[in-house]
Amino acid sequence: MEKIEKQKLADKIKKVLKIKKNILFEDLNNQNILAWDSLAKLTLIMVIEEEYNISINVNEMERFNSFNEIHKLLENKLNS
Amino acid sequence: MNKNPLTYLESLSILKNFKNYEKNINIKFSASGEYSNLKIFLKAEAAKSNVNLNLDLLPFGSLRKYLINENKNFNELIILFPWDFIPSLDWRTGIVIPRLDEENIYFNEIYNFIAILSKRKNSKIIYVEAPIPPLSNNIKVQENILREIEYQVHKIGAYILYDHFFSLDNYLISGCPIERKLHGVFAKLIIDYYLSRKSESKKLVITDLDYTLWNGVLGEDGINNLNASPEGQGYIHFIYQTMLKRLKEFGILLSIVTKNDSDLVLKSFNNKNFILNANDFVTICANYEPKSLQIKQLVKQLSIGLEHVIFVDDSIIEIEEVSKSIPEIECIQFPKNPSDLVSFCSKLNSFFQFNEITTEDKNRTELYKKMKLPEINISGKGYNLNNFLKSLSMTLKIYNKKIDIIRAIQLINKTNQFNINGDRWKKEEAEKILSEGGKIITGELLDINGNYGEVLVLFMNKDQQVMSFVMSCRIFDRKAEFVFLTYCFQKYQNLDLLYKKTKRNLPLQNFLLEIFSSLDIKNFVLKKSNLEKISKKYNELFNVDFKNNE
Repeated sequence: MEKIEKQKLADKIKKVLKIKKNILFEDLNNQNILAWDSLAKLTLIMVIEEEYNISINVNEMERFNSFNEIHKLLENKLNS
Repeated sequence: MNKNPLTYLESLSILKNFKNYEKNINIKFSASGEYSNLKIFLKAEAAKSNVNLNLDLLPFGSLRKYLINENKNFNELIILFPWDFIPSLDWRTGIVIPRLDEENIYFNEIYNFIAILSKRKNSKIIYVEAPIPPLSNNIKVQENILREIEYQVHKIGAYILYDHFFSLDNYLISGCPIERKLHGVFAKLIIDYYLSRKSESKKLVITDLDYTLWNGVLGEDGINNLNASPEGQGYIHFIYQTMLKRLKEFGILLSIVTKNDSDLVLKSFNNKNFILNANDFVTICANYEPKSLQIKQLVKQLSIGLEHVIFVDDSIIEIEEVSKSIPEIECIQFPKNPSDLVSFCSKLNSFFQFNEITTEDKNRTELYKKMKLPEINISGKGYNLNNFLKSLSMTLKIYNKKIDIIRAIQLINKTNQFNINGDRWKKEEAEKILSEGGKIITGELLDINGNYGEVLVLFMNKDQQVMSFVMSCRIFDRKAEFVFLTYCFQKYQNLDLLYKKTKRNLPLQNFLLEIFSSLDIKNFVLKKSNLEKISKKYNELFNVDFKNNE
């Protein structure tokens, strides 16, 4: 079972969104973070594809709204 | 300086640390799509050349209006797609209703747009080929339109890029027509073109063999089961071979660096389905030394600078070892999936620029082969991969009792290199030994890249004599064999390895040397204490899941 290291994933997301402060994984989502807009979402998709060497399809893009959803999606993809 | 195309995070990192620049350039970036992300890549690429690039982007969808109304003299980079010439052909506006005399109408639109572009003297124009929506039932009309656009942009001196950069998926979702995974390559090409940067031309491609030049593992599958034909699993390797063949025609030297037996490697090229043969390679290095050492030796023999070398391998571990040990050379991982072949070919191709082929280019390989290459021995160790191996999050599942032994017997019978004695076993013979109290213990390896399946087998009789101990060459250099044996000692005190030297088992001999320091001993009885000290540094690389099925 592949494990996606949560902190590493969170660090990548924070780098894209230019978040410097510490933040709980649960709070890393588009409801709490103003910078997490539609353009940021597309950027996150690009970065996750590059960093984890995967392709995200249109349906999966809908889940790029929170850290937890992205983490779950990645684990499912890399384990399938 | 990293010469590879950048990733987004690498681009951000470069820009964050970019303070001292030699040149400041302001460019109007005139394109009709959404390019906010590409802007980051472009600025970072320019930063690599110490250029502070300020890009002024147009609002989405405003290119045509802007080009018609604005004709100021400033530095400009224009990125064009077919629908910039004929707006009704934009995918985002849907399929156009066929019109009478549409071919003439569209041709006039092309000429009008070209007239607007011709007035922009300070502009560098890039045209990206892309498919257009279907126009009518007459496919010839579609072909004629695309051909006419390409002809016209060629006439005005535009830089033309092939259609693999276009992604309909990304264009519809985000408004950016450039394939997400090719942003780095695209940006590099654009900046090379705009700044007239000459890429250091590469002169030598060093390639791996197993799962790179062909599908299959030479040492396990045998010469006759290697596949590089244009069908099925061989297809991406066939395409890769044609690409290398083409590079050779342009004067690029090809070499092989592989962990295999050299006589087997030469025999493998008797395969009539291969595009390449042994003579296409200026050197073939086949031994079990770290690849970084093999490469250092090889480039010194050929007197080629490291900055002129590209290394291609399917194994992320070999890529890591070589790239860390020799940061000057470009390392590209060969893809596992056909869907990644386009970006791989783009990336490899981006390191070469050819204007013409000379007779000298065509004969370069022969010229080098005729030269008496000096003997050079480079000794030492390869790069310490422990940190990288840790990052792979490897899990070794060890099964103490095997119910279905077929796969285990298959692995014993096809493994040559890491094999204690080369003995082959029939299923019935193995079952007899098992029924008398023997054991088969197997290891399965997983990491963040996938599940490698059953890759280690230890087969012993009731007296703990190890009749067979094999490991798949797909997991060489991971040190799994030490960890596997350490866990075997949870149940057994001594393991009497029935070792025999064979023509092919040099990797196993190296393993025994690491434990016993000499092969010149009568008995290879492995005790827990032999292993403890060596295995300690490797145990932390693995999460072990010991499945005691008894």
